[in-house]
Amino acid sequence: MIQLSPPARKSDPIDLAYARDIVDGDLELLQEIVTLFLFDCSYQVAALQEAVASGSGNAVTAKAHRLKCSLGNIGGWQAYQLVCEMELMGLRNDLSGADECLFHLTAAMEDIVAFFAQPNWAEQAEDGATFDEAQ
Amino acid sequence: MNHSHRILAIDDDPLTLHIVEHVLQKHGYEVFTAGNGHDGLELARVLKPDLVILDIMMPGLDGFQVCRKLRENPETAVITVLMLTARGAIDKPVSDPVDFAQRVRDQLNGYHVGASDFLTKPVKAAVLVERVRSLIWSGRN
Repeated sequence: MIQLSPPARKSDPIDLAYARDIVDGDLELLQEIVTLFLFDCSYQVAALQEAVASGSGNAVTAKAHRLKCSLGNIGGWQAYQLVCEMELMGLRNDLSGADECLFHLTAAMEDIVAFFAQPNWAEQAEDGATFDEAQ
Repeated sequence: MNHSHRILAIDDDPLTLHIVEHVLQKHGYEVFTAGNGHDGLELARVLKPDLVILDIMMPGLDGFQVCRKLRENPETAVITVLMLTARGAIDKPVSDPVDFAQRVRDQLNGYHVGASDFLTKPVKAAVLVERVRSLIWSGRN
């Protein structure tokens, strides 16, 4: 039977239960993708900042989309929502709110990096309850 | 368990490729990856996989172009294609009309160029495994 986790509280920078479902409970794999994410995320945010500065809606859509994929895989919902907004701004070719979004995104990304800097984050992932267990 | 089925994943997001590769390998599939459409087409021609998992939005050749080229080449024309899309926020399925219209367009375009099915990213491993199993079973029968 497939077991899926419930959504996390909106205030958490990372939804570890969701991230665990993404990798089918394989915490070693989760640690690998977190390492990949941390290696890549600052470049992706910088690329998004450049896209906003260029004023190109297409570029903002592409860079926001790429970062969205990465954030979704680790359950980084606060930042995910912000890049979703930016992707839509690009699609609409209206970047009037993009600078403000970037400001909040930078803070949300800092929260994510701080979260994964905690030595016990993987233990928290191990402790998460599945949807069926929570019923 | 070894299904001895060959899967090619094409995506410009290294995290997604890493997850797809490891999850499907764990379930006995032989998995190959490509980080862009050009490399993916070449690998598909050489490997003749049972299934291609194909991201839609990639720089260079996008997923629609890759799928169309797969269908145009007799060597790869019958390969089953599962498209991955990250359009839209997963908890806001229809809240934005621009976003929703784009998602509908993506799906229609995907079927038009020969995709068999779609999954929305981020994909939970269990869902991916079941969809892959189902598509490979359908392709075999």
